[in-house]
Amino acid sequence: MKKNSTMLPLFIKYEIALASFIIICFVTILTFAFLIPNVTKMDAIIRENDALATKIERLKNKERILSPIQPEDYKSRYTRTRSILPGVADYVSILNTLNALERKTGAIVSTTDFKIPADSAGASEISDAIQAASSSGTPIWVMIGLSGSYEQLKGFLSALNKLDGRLFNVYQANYSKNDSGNDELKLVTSTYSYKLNTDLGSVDSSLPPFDKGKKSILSAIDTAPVIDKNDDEVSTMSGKTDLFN
Amino acid sequence: MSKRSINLVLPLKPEPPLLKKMRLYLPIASGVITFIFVIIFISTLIFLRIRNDQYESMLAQSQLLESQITAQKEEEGLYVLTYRMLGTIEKILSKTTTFSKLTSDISVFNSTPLILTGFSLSSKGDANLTIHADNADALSQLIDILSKADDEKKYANIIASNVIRNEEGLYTVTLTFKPNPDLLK
Repeated sequence: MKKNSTMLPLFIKYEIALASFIIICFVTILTFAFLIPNVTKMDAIIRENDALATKIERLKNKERILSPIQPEDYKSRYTRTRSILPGVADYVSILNTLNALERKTGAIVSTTDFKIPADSAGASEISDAIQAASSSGTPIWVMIGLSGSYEQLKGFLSALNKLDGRLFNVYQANYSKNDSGNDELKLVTSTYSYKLNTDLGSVDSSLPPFDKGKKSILSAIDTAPVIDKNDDEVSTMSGKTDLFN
Repeated sequence: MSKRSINLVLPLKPEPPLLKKMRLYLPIASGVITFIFVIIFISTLIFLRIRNDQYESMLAQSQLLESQITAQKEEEGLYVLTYRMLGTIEKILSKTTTFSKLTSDISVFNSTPLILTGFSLSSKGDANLTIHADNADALSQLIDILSKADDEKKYANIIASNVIRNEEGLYTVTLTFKPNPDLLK
């Protein structure tokens, strides 16, 4: 009883301070229970909004690129690019390209060989070069023997890689005049096939626009004449595309 | 009888300064802290509400765009495949050599009184030419051409060797040089 009588005035004296202390403790608990989780949620929602905004921007870009596309135009462009760089070796199209170049330049393709002799000058160097180039396509050896005037042979080299047929990389060119005064050119070349990855990715994957280089190739492909084939060639085309497999 | 006085008021113990300060500042601190808590808490609620609404509308927009793009699957396929093909063609073209520029450039050795009788070109950048010259003046002309090419940095390391004069007075020269890489394209 005596103790209570001494505590009571003390309690009365400090009741406001005590109540304030209790309020501070309570607010601290509320901060940990509600405010901090809310701030964490804010951070997460800011991140999610930013990610979603980036995704929308990507989708808008994709939509902007896809909207004007005419499927028929692109089908024809894709077919043209595939004829330049087919998925398999397609030896028939290599021969067709050489025939077309013959007709175009007047040079005569006297020999075509699809394997390089091991004892060819610089064979190992060429092999190394082909290995280095193979990252962008599978190379196929083509040894080409040509005859004709110097101008015709020069024209043949200039007409290579005009994007109207297969692509050729010339590793060696050996020119000579034979005894009868005719000009001959022997080329060690490679052409390419390319296995295309047809995976399109997710719907929100970004779609890069064609850069300057690709646009210029596309316009060259659009304007390049399609290799015309005579009747014999058309019937050849219906056979196997890879004569060696 | 003398008067006696009794002091009934107990002498006051001095209050410790810390308690005194607490009594003064704790109510103020609790008020301020509570006020700040309420303001921040309400702000976070408002922020979350606004951002959530924004997220919902963005999500709807994203879903709409996705459905539009899904409807254009054929166009996307054609575009992507054409893009990849062009990328590979571009890569191949950047590495390929056809010597078309170089063969045009060395045509200068194939005009009277010079005759280009043979050449060997390699993508490594080696060029070997065999040239016939009608007479000594033609040789002098050949030297002029080579000097000019050297000045224009078209050819480097030019070596003329095996200069042979036959019975008819024709000269045969073997020429070796490194063409400018631009000429190999």
